[in-house]
Amino acid sequence: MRRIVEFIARHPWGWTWLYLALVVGGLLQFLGRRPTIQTETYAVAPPLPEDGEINLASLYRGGSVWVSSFDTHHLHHPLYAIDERANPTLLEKWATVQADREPWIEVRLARRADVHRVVLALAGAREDGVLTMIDYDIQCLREEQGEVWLVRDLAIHGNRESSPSHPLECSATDRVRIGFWVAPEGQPRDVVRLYEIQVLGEVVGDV
Amino acid sequence: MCENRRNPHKQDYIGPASDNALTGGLVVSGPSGSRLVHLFRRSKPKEAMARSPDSGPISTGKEGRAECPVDPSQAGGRGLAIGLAAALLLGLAIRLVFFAIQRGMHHPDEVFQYLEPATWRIHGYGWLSWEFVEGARNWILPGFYGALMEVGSWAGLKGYSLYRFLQLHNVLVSLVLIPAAFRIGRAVGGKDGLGGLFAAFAVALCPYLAFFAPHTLSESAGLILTTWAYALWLEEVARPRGTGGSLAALPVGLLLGAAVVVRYSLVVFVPLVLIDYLLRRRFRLLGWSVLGMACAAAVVGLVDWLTWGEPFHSAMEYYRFNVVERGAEIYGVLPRGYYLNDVLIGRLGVGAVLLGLGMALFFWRHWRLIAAWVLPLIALSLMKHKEERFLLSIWPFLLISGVNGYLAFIRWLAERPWKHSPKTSSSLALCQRDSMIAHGGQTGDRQEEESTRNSQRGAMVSDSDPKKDHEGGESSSYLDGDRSVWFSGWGLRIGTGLVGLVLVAVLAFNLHGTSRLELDSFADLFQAQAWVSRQADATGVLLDEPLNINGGFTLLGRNLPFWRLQFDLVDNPVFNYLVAQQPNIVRALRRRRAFTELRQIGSAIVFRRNTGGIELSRQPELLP
Repeated sequence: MRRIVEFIARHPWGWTWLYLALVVGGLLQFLGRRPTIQTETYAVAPPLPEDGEINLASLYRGGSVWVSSFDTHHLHHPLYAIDERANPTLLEKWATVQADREPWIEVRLARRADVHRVVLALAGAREDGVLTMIDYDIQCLREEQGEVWLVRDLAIHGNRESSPSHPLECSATDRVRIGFWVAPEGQPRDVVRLYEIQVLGEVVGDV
Repeated sequence: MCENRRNPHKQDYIGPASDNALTGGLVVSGPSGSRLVHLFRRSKPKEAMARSPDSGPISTGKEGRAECPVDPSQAGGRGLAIGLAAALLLGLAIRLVFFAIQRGMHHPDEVFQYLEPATWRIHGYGWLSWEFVEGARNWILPGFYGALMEVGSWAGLKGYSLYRFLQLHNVLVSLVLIPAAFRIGRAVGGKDGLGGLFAAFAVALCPYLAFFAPHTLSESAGLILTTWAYALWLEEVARPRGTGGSLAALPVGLLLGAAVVVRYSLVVFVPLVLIDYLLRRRFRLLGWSVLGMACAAAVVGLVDWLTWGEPFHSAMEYYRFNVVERGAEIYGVLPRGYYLNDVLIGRLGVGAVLLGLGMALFFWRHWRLIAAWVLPLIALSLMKHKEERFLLSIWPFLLISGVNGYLAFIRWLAERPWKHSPKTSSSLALCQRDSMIAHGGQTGDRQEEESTRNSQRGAMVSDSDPKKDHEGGESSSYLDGDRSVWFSGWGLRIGTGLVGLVLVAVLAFNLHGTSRLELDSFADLFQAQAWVSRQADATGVLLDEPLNINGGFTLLGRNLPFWRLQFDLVDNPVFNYLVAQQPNIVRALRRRRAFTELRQIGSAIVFRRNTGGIELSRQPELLP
């Protein structure tokens, strides 16, 4: 380090080399980025225990979402999917981009829970039903000691409902992940449009 | 043996200017040679090693120097270095003032065309404009700023602090314009470097250029690249043929190509250089410059291929949208005279007349510099969509060509033969006793004798014709007979001082014109947006501005959903912060009990939702 500092101080182009080194280093880090899009966790986790079924995905109960992409040009932010908005506008949905050919959304619960149902508000709830996703895969996941375990996997094919409710019966679940199959670009359902996701269950412990 | 060489400026060159620098000399050419006039003090004759392109170092003997064509890039010295350093310091000072004043942005493009895409690439969130959806922009400048954002993040900077870091970086980098201007001024203005100094000060102190220095616009980056490209080109033009290599044109091409890469419309600066090479039949230089441009083009082709899936995709989309479809006209159409009237004359005022007069003086000596700003002005004026920033790159050439004309006039006056005046001041117009190359003692002695006699007269000492020296003939004194230069030391000093005053006047008028720009636009909104982002309980924010007129996710530094404030979203509890500026919206929000007015930042008022909020994982406190 001392030699580097001396070089910079004495060499007529020392500061230029330092600047270039910083820019190149920054550029390498920039090019190596593979960001995962996630929302922040805003709220406290629901108390233990709580009677009855609650929506554990809600941002008001400490839920957060991770997504593969979201439509940044139209700002269809993933947070809309867990905002518990009763009558959302067309803006207030999570939507992916066409380039994302394997879109997914993962709800992370604030507390470990027994998940009974997953309820979705798909495109048809507010828009043309032809945009409603028909094929997707719901997974209940549990994280233990740094590893993520699959608790249950439920494949859905040929869905025609705008707001389907899927019984799951996943025990001790930390995350619920839904992976979608999208149509080729330019066709309806080439992007995911999700107005709301609810993960209904009972809290059993800490994550 | 050095010999006079034909050069486009029809000026002879003089040997190493180290003595010039110590004494602040001005070189003037006479019919029989060049001589040095010192503006400040007498320089003692000293042995100097003259450099000849033909025969290497040549001793001048006891006094005088060799009159050899010299590469203008070699002229320099301590005085020039001090002047250049002063220009850099003053340039930094004025730029820092504009940096401190401007806390917002000049144009949304500086956020959404370069910073926001970089934010998106780094974090996965960012509001991408249509250009980055359709592929009408390349990723080179966003990549550069992304690299800087990574560097800033190493220091823990994010949001508004990161934004200011990028602006400060641009301020510092913009200082490289000053040595470029110096080199242009020296190349076109004369071998003594005074033209370079004037050019350096003109660019350093130009308020208009200082205003744009912090902004993360492609025009700011293009300004640096075009100015340096032209500096290297004009130095080559001024260089005697046979000195320097053809490879000197490679960086010219690279820089011009890079300028086009960062801003495609800067292609208007390319033809002049290529045509000049053609007219001078410098085909090797032409080839190297084209190669340089091709290298830059190859880079953008590769980057587009990697990012958009097709080589030169962004260039083709740009051409299709702007040239074929004229899509830019939806953003506004301005009359053809807008750039000349509203921008140049509007920002310079009477200074435009002063510059124009200077350019007209001896325009044939710096016609290239005049063409450097006139041709792009005409080309850009033909496009219907106009914005003031599009013309930024011409300003250094505009200033330098005007100032250079006055300096050329001063030199011309000094070169005129006048009747000898016995009262000609000798104390200040102390000339170095330059002589021709001392290849023969007899010749040198004769020169010594002439110099002594002329010094006693207090007149200018002339140099003999080097050509005659080369032939071994007698030296011909410029002071044969009773002729001598009347416009000597004091006259030159006053003349140079007047040129300085003209420059000061031009800059003063420009300051007035620049002050009519919005110096602090969007600052209140930016401050408010940044303040909201620092609040731990913020889950979303509505802004009283269109989506493309705010600081974006770059300024937020967080993955917070934001949207334009509209009342069908006001009821969504996700948007628990609102920033309003329009009085009617402020009044409407104040009437709503659901919101509490938290803070006023200039014209922006921040509201927070009272009900429908969330129980936070940590207690919120209003951070400053």
